[in-house]
Amino acid sequence: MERAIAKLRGSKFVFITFVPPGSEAVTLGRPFDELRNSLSELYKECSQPDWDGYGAKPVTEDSYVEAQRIIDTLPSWFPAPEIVAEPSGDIGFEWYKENGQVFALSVGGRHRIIYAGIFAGDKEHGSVYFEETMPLVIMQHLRKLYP
Amino acid sequence: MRLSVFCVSGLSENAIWEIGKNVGNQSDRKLLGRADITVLPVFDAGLSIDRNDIPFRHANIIGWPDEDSAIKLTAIELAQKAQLRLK
Repeated sequence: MERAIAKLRGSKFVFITFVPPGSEAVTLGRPFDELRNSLSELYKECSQPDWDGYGAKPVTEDSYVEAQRIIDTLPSWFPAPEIVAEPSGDIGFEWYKENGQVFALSVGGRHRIIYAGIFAGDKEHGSVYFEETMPLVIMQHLRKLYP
Repeated sequence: MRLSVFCVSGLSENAIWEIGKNVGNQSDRKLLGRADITVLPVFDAGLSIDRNDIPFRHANIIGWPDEDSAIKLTAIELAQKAQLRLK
């Protein structure tokens, strides 16, 4: 065991649990359950064309699935974002902090995250490929808001 | 891309809400609130205003960037300068 821990020491994030033999690991509720419910509601309400009365595109199943994956890959210690449907049919996640700091990202089922943020006088925007794990650039921007 | 707005200079609160109510009625939607913004932040963000008065006082905010992420950043900037008023 000591050798295994020594191997992990170089890693940035190490989380080790010891479960006594014969006992069962217990999961204490999934993080962001409320956010998942909001996402499901949003999909129901905005999956038809013109859901906003201004000709918005429908939120597609691909967008919905990709948004679920965003939630799945968000570290549980980050505050839950606000979730919105966008006229393009994309699904957006937004984090607001005091002093006007904001970070927003959106997905539309195209394996791409579109993001923009305003941090203490610094502005950033761009897009990044997204498949299974949260891209490093997104984590770095979120860390600016929540160090 | 364009953002539909109404020029409300000189109007009373009631008259402003009335415009929103009329727009909502035309598309069978309930008015929930409005966002007030002055002209300066719009120009500061590199955008411009195209007033067409169809209907009277209507205008579009135009000149949005091409890149999706740049649009998102500009929208955030405008939202920060706007004042939200709920009905």
